[in-house]
Amino acid sequence: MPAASTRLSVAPRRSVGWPVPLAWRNLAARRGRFLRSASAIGFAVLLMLVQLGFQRAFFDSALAIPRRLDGSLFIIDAAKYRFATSEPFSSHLIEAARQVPGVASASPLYAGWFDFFWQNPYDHKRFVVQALGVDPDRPVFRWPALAPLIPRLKAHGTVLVDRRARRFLGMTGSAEKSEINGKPVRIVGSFALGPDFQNDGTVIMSVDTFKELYPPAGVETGVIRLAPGAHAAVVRTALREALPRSVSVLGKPGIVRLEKNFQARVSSAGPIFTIGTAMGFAVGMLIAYQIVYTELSETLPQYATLKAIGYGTGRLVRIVLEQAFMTALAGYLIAVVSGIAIFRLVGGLALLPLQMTPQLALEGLGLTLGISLLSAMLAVRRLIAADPAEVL
Amino acid sequence: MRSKPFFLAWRILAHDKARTGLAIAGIFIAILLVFVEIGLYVAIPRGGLLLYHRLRFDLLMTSRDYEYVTQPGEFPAQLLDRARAVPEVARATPLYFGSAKWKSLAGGVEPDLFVIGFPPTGGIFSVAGIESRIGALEKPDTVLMDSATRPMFGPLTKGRRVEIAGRKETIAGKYRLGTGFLGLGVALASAENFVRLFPGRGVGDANIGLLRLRSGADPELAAAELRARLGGEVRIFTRPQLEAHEIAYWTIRTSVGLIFGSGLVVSLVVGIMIVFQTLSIEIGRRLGEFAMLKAIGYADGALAAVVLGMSLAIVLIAFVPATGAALLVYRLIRTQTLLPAAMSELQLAAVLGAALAMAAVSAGLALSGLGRANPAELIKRGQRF
Amino acid sequence: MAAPALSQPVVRLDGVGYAYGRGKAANQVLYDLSTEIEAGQLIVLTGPSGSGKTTLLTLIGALRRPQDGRIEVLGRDLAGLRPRERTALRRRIGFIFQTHNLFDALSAYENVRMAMQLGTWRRREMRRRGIEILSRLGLGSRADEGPGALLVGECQRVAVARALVNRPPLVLADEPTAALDRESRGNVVALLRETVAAQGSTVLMVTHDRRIIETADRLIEMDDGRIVADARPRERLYPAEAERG
Repeated sequence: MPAASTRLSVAPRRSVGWPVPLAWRNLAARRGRFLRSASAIGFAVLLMLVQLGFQRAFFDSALAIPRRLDGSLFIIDAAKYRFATSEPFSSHLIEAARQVPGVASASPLYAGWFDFFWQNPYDHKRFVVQALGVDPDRPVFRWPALAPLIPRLKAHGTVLVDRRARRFLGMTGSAEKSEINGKPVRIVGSFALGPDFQNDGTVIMSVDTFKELYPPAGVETGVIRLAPGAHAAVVRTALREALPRSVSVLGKPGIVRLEKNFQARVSSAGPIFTIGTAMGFAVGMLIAYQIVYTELSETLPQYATLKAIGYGTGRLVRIVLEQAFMTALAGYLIAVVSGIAIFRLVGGLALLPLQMTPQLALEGLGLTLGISLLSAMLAVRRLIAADPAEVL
Repeated sequence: MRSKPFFLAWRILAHDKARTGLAIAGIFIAILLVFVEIGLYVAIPRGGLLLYHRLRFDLLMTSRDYEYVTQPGEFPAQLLDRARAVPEVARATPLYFGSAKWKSLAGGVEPDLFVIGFPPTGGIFSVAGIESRIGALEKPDTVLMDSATRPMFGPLTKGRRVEIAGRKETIAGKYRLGTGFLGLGVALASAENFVRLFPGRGVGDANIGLLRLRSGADPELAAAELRARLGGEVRIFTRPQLEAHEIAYWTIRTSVGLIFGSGLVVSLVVGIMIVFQTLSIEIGRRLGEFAMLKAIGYADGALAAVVLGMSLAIVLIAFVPATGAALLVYRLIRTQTLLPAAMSELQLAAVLGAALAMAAVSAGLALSGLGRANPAELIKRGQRF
Repeated sequence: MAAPALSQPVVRLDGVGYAYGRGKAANQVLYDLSTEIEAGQLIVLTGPSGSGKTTLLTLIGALRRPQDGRIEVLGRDLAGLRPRERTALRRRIGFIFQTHNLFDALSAYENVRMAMQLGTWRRREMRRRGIEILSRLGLGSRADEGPGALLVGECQRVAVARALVNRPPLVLADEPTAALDRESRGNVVALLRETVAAQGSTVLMVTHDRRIIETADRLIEMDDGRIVADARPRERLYPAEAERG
């Protein structure tokens, strides 16, 4: 790396108003190196963003249905360990729930995850899909795009399909008929949901159609809406007393948490991406440390001189930290921009809800700052220990 | 002048232990990162193929609708009789798959259990723990449990009674195979017990059929023969075909391959970048010393050997602990997730090869810079580091 | 302009000894130095290499601590100083090192300004003062160029400007003119002389330059870690004249 050619004579600056921005000037004087350092950190941050983004996408896809349930309280079988497992209970309990004061409506949600075989209308291959059965007069979803389609399910043998399902299911076209479990069904509309780790696609139908295609052993979830003015905790207790111990009564957060905990703890998704993120963090720490270390190696005599002429160590450490932060932030911006592009690409291909949400971006920023701070604090020990006398 | 370039390279590195240590740490992390990501990526199809790798068969017979191991479809078991009629086929065994609710007698959650039913004779699984307990499976309402079954199923102690699909069963023991992606828990049962657990199913409908050929028989030829005789009612896979099919399913059909693949690609880029950057800096830092060597008459060839020696030394010294750390992380992954992450010779060789290649490339690029410059320039350049 | 007389010396050394390393590897470079340096003088420190001159400067500049003896600088005993006091004291000492150690990324003016930030300049005065002192050293027109564009000698002059810009009461200089051409040398020496005359500062300079030695108010010679001679240079160089004068 030749010495003189990268350093041009400095343009006139009027730093009259505030102290010399040494950190900034150090970076601006060697733009090529600044970009390289920032990119290096950016890659590590990108690695973490990708891992966290995927983890979030896995969770979001698995939580898509639970999150869209429209109710204040939910009844599930007490033995249910996650949302997407068959643990039906008797529909009589839904009737019983309706009688409880404070309950405005109790709607059943039927579901099957291993028992509904959808036939691709184009090549006639059969695949297992997630099937949801709802009462068209008592819809259970808070889902604006779906709401106008629900009444169509009142007709016999009709289904709505997931147009974001995996392509081999053939739900994305304009076919109007197909078969489920060997019985003919009519396709009367589509919604956009997407697959998750377990299901390749979803069909929604009325309870009657559901029972015809595969007689269920019971209801999967009871969705309770409260009467105006009713207190959730009170109604919950009342329901708890009215219903047998074989079922549980949960709030909305509880039912979401049921699946979320499963994904985080029991399924593999949680730990895998956490390991990946941790690796990214380790890499980031190393890269950031190397950057500060190298920078100090070059300028240690200069900083030691400043110490000798009366700069306190704290002030110098602050300058070095500033420089480290600025580099890390630049890297972060690079990572976010690249991340958005990658998410769009991979999300589209993988049909996962990969998104650079504000929360994800903030998490990435936090991790970036963490990396920067921790590694810089380790690296500045050299600066703190620097002996001005050695300068001579 | 006696020139021992590699010895000299070592001396140069040992001179500034702190900096060299930092460089080694950098390469260590980069190699570890690549190991972990490759391990994860490769573990996916490995998890999907886990069961097949432990079954003894030369050809696999499945239904027409076979998707992958847990969506195999069904076909009439009589077709296995017709398969036996083919002279090359020595043995045809049906396997039955089912999913049932597991209930601990003490109550609690009811996870889904994957049950594999098979005629309780030896030579089907290549797992010692199963072979030695075939006799136990013949007892009514008895199952063997995979030791990798998740903790939520409770302890898998021999003699424990549990409820599977509403029926009381006794655990006859554990075996080590791995649940792969079959489910959170896997149990083995004899065909008779299987039918008791799943009364809707008879032994008439098998999910997969394991075909073993006579010694010396060619799997491809036998497969062709079977396809000719059995027509479109079933699919016949040779082992390589089966591997390819399952791998394709996991990497292409599900999003998993794409996701882990993207993670792998980003990691590779990061890893390569770190190795390259670190080695360039380390060599660059010593440009002054190389200038001196050149000035006192060191031949270019010997100088090249020194630079190459330095790069290789740093990479190799970092490689050993990185491999050790990777083994630990693989173990962590295996115990914490369903993924059978493990080190294979191929992974080891690939990463080592890549690392050494990067070392050579970095050295080469650095040397091309060295070759042209005269010693004074080099000293000046060296001060930049 | 006569310098106001200080009631106490600027520097007082009392039995000062210093060794590098510890124990068996200890290398004693200064032995039992005792002397006083009054304000308002330009004192030259000279002697063969290895005689401990630079080490002595670093001790006086509060960059090192002596193993033996006591050092008082600008009225403060160096031994009892806490870090913040040490830093404050260093601000009152202008140190010119052998290597300029300027920041590449900053212009000449900005490098000088780094020192000014430690002083009590009002912001508006900084630019004016910075350009002024650089001009005195012949670099006024190049104030906004960086060390990359300047020759080593010019960089060294910037370092001199940095050391003197705050008008410190004590200036320690280690071979400040070694890399300079004749004209620049003259500028630096003139500036140092002016600092002594105008502000009553004290300049303690290590040099071998005969011409500077001639103009010094006092010449301290060191050899092997001890002061071997301490006199007015005129007396030393031209002892006959001194006797006559």
